[in-house]
Amino acid sequence: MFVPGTHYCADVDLEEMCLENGAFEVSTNGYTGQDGLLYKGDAFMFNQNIWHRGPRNVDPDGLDRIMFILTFATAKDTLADRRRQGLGTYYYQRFNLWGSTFGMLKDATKTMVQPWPFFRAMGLVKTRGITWIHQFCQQLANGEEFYNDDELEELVKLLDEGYQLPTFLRSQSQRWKRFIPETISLWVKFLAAVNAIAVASYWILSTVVCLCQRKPVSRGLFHTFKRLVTLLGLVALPSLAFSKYIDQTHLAVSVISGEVNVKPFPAVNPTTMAKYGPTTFPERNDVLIATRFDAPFLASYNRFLDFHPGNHHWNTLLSAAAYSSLPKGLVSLLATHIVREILQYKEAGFHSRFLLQNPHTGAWSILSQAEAQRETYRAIVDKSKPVTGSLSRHLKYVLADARFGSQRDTVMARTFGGQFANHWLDVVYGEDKATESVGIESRSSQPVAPRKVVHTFPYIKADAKATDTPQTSVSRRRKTVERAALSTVDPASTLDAGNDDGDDNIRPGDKVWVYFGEGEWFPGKLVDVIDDELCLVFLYNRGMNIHVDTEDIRAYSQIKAGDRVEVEDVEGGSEEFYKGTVSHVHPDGRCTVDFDDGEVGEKVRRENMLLLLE
Amino acid sequence: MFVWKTHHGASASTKGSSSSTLFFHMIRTILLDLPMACIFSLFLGSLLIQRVYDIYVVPIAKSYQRGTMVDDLFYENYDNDFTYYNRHCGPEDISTRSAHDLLIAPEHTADQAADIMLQHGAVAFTNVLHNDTATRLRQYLATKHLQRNNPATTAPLGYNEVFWSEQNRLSLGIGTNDHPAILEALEQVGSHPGLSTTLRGILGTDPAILEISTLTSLNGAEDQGIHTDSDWFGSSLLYARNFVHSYSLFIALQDTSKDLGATTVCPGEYSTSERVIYFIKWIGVLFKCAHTFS
Repeated sequence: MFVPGTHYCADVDLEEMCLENGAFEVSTNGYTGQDGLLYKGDAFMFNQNIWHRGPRNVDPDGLDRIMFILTFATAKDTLADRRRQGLGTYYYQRFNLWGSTFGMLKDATKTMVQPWPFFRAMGLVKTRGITWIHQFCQQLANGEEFYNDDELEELVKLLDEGYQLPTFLRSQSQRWKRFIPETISLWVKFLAAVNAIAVASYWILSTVVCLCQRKPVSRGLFHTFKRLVTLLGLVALPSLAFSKYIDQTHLAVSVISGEVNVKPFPAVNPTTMAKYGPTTFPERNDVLIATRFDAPFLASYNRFLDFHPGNHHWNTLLSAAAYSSLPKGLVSLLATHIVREILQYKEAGFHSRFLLQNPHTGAWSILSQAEAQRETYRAIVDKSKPVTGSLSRHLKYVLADARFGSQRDTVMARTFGGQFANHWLDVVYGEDKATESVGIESRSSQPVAPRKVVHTFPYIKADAKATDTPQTSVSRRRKTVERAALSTVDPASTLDAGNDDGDDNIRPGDKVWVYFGEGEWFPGKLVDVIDDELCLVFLYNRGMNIHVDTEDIRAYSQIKAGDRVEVEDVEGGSEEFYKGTVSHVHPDGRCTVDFDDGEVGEKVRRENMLLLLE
Repeated sequence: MFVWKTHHGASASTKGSSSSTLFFHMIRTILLDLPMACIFSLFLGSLLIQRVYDIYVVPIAKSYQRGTMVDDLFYENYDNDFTYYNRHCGPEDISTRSAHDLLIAPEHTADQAADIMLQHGAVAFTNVLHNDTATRLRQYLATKHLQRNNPATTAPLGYNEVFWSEQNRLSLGIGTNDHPAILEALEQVGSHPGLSTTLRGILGTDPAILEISTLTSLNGAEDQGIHTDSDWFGSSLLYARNFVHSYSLFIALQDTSKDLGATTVCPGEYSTSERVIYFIKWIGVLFKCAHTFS
């Protein structure tokens, strides 16, 4: 079972959502009208981030369902590609098939027979595939499947009972990370001792033979020495050559050059994050402008954000506008209309915004309308003029390489790389830099003062029915509602404000936090207000409607850096609220809050914050 | 090193001495030199393994360490590496209601196929394996299941053949030379034009293979829980420059009926602004007309 589209979801659990929303099955004999697929020899291929499940088998004839599986990933043939296999994924394949590539399959009878698969698996010959060594290191480092403690216990049992290995030839450690080097060391020592004994025996025997043959012992020993040196030298030379060869392999070079330890993005000092401008948390309907992709090895993922719902909407409009012969003025006009349309589009109580990802921090900040128009103009040009699109794509590769590539710490990359790429991007799009709005690079390098944003603070109130608000604070959640009721309404709320309907109600269709289950807040959508005390709420990650007490609903707001908030002291358990200002919104949804008393709250969850009007 | 030396006209005793010397050297080479060379080779081999482990494996393994997790949500090591955001989904995020939307047609280009994969997260192909190849491969794997299920009466499966098993589910690792049908199947996979085009669009030229195995739902198997193969907190979803995006191809070796365990998808679709598209298209058409007549 696959749930198409869910490869963009970072939920902990989507099982109920999928099952409650009409999952249907595809089969050869028809089921819910979806027939004609998955006959013998047909295949499905899916992204490993997609939500799916293995199906039941209740075949009346007792048949087993057998699937032949191959898994593919981008070839790893450049040191700049520092990606590794996703966590939680266990790939089942024989040792000697690691290092293989799709191109080898076409002629498998020649390319996939020994000994080459072994050398490829060990990274000893040039391969575009991912070697077994990489797989081994990743699993070993994190105690994953095949290298957890239970597996070690089984191996020890096999060595002791199956192979009768003497215990002095294996480590007594219960941990793989110690077991392997210690066991290797024991073998080295053991074999060194055996060799020493063998050499000594060889000499003794030579002496005895000399004595028996009545030859001079010194001459015999010298002859033996020469013979031993020749013999061992002949054995050692290929080993030395092999060792040198290993040092030249792609895998070894990545270690020797230090590339293996380089992180994909340069470290950022948390205290300097604020200088990159006000950050916010993206919503489903926002248009996201990427700055951290743009690498040849990412292949189709360079367009990953094109299918984010907000971007999908934007792209549909862009495609409609992509006529190759439109003059610049008309393209600008279309860009203006598209941006207006996007900004007016509303979903779950929030208008769409244009967000730019900061290349240095990964955080998202809101673009002004002029900046959004500039991005939209460029996107129309990319779509309508393939040559321009191709050029700009390659310039973006250059820009990303200067920021994140292996030479990113050089003066050339830091000083000129970004300038060069940005300058030529301006040239490609025919923009005059002096008159255009702030670009990506300059935006990130100049401090941007948080813009003043006026928020409404929505709270639960049935439109026609409810006229009263809770009068007493009986619980911390009740306090939330009460606090909301004290908020004032500002009709001058902006497009990017939390709720811009000009009133302070949460309306059906608006996004909310719901207190549900075992003391956790989950995102949801208000479906209906039954009465003053009861609401019907759609819970996103459950995919179903539930009835919730009004006091268990909290306004969901688009928090931005610069917003005034009150933060619930969840960790301290005091149920007190402390005032502060959001200084940074992280892409994981948590915020850094500068409290009024001088303390700094790192990684505060949004559901534990109340937005304040001041 | 033994050097055979004979002299023309040597006496019989000298000849006898040469023979015994030859015999002596042969014995010495076989009984002493070869074992010595083997023992020394083993020693050098162990030293080489130790060197490779210490110099290369340990640093690579260290670079792979995840670090600690905060709030049971994210690994601190990846805090600065987001390329997307922590997005939570609802039914509106399910992208199609028809499995036929996932089908890759012969006329699809690499980019179009990649678009389908990016939008839906899954694609479908027809006729990846020939019917008789699928049948023979299935028959071979069925014998392996018999071997696994009847260890008392048949030879047990090798240590590298069973990779994973739980109640009524089984994953086998297969070697390319285990059976002719396997090589044949691999060649057909490598030659499938739709698959080749799609992989080029999704992963670039000549992608790496991470898995060649099988998965069997034995009769009586229950539904699994719905899950992802990669953890969301450590995958290309949130960290595209930290983790590779990988794709699993499941080839059916039999007609897959609903009872046998059919593939399931959920409904849903994207919405768009028809009004603006109409407006924009109208401007475009108008301009094109003007351009044509001018």
